[in-house]
Amino acid sequence: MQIFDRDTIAAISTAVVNSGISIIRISGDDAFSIADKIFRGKTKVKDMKSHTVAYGKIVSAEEEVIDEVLLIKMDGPKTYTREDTVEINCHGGVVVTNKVFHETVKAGARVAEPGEFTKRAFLNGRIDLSQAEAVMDLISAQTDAARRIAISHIEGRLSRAVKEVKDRIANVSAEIEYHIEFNDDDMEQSVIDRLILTLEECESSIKRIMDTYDTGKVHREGVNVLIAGRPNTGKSSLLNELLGSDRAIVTDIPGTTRDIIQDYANIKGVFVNLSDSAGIRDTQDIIEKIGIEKSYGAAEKADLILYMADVRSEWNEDDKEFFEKFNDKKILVILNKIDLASEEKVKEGSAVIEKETGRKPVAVSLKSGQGINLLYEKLEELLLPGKLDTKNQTVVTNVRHKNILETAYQYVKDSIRGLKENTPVDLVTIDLNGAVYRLGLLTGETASDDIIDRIFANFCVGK
Amino acid sequence: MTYIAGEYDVIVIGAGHAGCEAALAAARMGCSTVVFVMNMDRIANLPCNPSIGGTGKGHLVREIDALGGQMAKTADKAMIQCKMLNTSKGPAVYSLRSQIDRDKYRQEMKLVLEKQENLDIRQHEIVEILFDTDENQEKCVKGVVTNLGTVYYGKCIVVCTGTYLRSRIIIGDTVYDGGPDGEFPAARLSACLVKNGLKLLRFKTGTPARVNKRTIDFSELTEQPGDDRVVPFSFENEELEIDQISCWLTHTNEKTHQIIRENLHRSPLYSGVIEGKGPRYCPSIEDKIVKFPDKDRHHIFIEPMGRNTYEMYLAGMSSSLPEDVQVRMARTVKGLENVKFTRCGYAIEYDCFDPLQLKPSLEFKNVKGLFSAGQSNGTSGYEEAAAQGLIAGINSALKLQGREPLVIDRSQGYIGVLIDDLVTKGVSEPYRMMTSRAEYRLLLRQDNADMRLTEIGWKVGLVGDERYQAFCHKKEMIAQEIARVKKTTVPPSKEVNDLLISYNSTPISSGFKLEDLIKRPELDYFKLEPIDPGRQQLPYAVQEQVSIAIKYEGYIVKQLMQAEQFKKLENRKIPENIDYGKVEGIRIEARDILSKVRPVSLGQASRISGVNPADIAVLQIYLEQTRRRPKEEKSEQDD
Repeated sequence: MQIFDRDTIAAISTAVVNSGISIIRISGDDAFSIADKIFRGKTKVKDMKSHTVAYGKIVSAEEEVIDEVLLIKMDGPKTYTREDTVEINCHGGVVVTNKVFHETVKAGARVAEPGEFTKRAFLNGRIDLSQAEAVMDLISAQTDAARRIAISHIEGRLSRAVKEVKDRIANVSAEIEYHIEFNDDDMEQSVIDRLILTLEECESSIKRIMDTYDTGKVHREGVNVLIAGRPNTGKSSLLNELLGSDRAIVTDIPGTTRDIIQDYANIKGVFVNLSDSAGIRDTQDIIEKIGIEKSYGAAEKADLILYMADVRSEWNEDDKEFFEKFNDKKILVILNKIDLASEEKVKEGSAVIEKETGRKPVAVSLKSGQGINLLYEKLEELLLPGKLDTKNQTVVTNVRHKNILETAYQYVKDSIRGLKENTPVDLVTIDLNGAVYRLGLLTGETASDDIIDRIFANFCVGK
Repeated sequence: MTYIAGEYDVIVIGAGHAGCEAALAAARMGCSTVVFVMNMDRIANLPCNPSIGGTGKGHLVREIDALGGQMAKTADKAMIQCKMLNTSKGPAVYSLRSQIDRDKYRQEMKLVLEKQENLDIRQHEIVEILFDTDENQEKCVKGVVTNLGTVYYGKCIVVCTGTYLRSRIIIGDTVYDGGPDGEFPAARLSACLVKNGLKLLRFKTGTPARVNKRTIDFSELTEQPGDDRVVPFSFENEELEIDQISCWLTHTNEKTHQIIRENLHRSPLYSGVIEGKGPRYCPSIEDKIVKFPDKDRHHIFIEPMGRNTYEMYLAGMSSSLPEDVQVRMARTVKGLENVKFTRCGYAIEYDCFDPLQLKPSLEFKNVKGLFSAGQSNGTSGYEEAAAQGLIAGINSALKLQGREPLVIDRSQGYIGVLIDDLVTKGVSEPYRMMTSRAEYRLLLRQDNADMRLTEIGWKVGLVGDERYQAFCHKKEMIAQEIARVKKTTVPPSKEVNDLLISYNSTPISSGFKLEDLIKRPELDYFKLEPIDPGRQQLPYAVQEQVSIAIKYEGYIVKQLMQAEQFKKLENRKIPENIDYGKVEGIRIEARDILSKVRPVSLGQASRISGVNPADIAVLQIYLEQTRRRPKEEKSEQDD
């Protein structure tokens, strides 16, 4: 029932789209101290004058710079919520904004509930009665939306996976409670050992789910598209074409792109996460090799691969290897540099590719713009909703969920340590119930009577 | 002509564990009180197991004592065996359980009632409650009518009818109207309650057979002696010397189970004769065999019924199978081959109130001055009953004194958890206290019940000044000793390290805080006494508090923080006259259940099943709105 706590809340208060600036708002008693944990500017936030702007950097706990921002400090009560408020203007796009937001949560802010800023504004006397009606509408409307999402979630893989772990932890808790309530004898070490084993499995399950957040991040923001192909086929040029900027270095030297470059593009109204990978070829260069390994990894995760080929070069072993590996993926082959080859050569190249891959390539010249419109049409067709299998459905897609999983994970860890150190089991249950409660927030189930029901269902009790 | 036999402040119907506490509390708080019992010799009877306390229940007894109730003191007098349960499972769940001489318990309690100033005891069945309307045109109580037609007037009435209301006994295919333990039922009161719009539920419980000790072969049974150290229930008894009597352990076996299975068709539970809802935590032996067919044996504890009797209680063999089956299955059990029954096991069905009709004070929402406590609220257990009786008694007295009712919250005591669960969630089976029902279990320990509640007991007027002074002194000693320990550093020495090594604890090479040594899993406050020269002689109860407070400080702080959060919501009160129909934005399901339960605070509302966080958010805003509206309207008029 966190919604009433007088704690400090945070939210991204601009729409999460690929806009130039996003604003993260933090409100509550600890707004300044939380901001100070992550903001590095000329002065500390707490020492800033009210209603002033400062330039600085947002850093992670490891002091790694995440984004350059403008930060506005506002002392309560002259703020929307009448509480101390900090607004952070981020410039780095959706991924970066999410990262910054996540840092505020790590620093102690709680993810705000729907309508919570407005609710606080009302409860703190900031807005009047007529507006309050609107707030209630807002909350109930958002609840409906949230409920719909929750229902779809409940059917989703994430929810099922979480529920499974939660059930196992709840069963451990119920077993301990059974021993407390109904069994006069001491708990045997073999029982404790078995419970530890179960909890360790739960621990790694939660970790597995939690870790999908980073891979799921891409998915969350849209369709995951990878540009692949042998070196110097024009992958970076394609990236720049789709992004409309010179993001990747374009040179004639093969193997320039050695890491995955990621950015976002809006292609025909579809939000796309674009990755440019190192060119795939057999190489002795160790660094380049690592890059190629990464490309393979990224290809695994991609919803759509744009495979680049140079019309002037033959379809070789590297190309064949790639298609052997990823033939079941959705791949669009792009035959590039047609401005440098004869029409005949282009036809011939297309035929070879179609024969080798079973896919009809799009012939373009990124340099001259030839065939680009056709490429966009083709892309639009492929990106239309429903056209792609989005495979990574068991992923954690929002910060709140990740936050909950992290807390639950810590509780499970603590409970295991407790059992191993012979901490009395009544104390261990505090951690276990903490974990069950947290996971319940994700699956939408409440726990209080659940444990008791489990005792009766699983154990023969009573005199 | 109606005989008006008396006029009282408080009338208590029933003198079981709830009734005794209610009557004593009201009388001790200065109210003229009368308690009605159907049989004077059955005051404070223990018709089921001859024991008091146990997991969660022992906590309740401690809390009753801390508030100034009676059960703990009488139990100490009648105790014939003492056991502290769960000592390996942690301080929160240490639970005191005692075997009780039930004749002695009844006699002692009867005497306490008889000696109590302001209290009259009358042997009568109450067949009717008289109602009236008060000056605000609200329904209120007026008095009671006995089976002889006699009328007693009263300002408050506490119903403590236990399992007596319209009760019937079921043994196999035999069914008859009857109360517990061979008593008569209270057959007529239910109709009056229903006629006056009160909602009744039908519950069921049961008890095993009693047997003659002379016919048990103890040679092959496992003896279950009491603990070496006898711990009293009452905080006012520092020590207790008793000559303890053992219990005995045996088991059912495949033969027993076979007999049960073969005769299941004769069980009223399975033939449909029993309609009432029974408790899951107290299943009959036939239930256990059906639900857990893989278990090849079940515990049976043989417990003495008292010092001056040969009757013994077969805990674990509760049954409503026919008499012949009960005898046959008992005789398959090791040690009971030639056993002779004195009383059969039976199931009992009875009426009780739907506790959702009650406020947290245990007063009915729709009838002023009418209270209910104990099994008549859908609970089970002597301790649960006594705890409610105490609160109902206190609150009827406070009402007559024009004071605010006493409501213990969930972070203050098991009594609070118990009553809040009843009036917020209702009951679907007889409710038993369990430590896992308490969210702040580590704060609600049996050892610190006085720290939590004695001051409250003193404020309401049940705990006397002398006891309160002693309590304050104890509190002071604890605080001082904790402060001393926190300041103490232990220097590394051979003596110190020898002691540490003897407990498999890592030796120290420089000065170490005593506090940190106590926190090591393998050590505690008591073990470190030899290397703590500054320690003074302190009462055991004080040392125990110090030990727990320091050793488990981290977890205790965690729970205190949770309790703080909880209190914030509890303190947001909902006005009694709220019209949920006017709260826009709440779902219809939530609106219906809120209108029914009528929670007193947002906290209570949030615990009702069927009310979700968004409903609470909307409700919170509505409350703020109505709180502000009069002010704003007023200022508009001023303009």
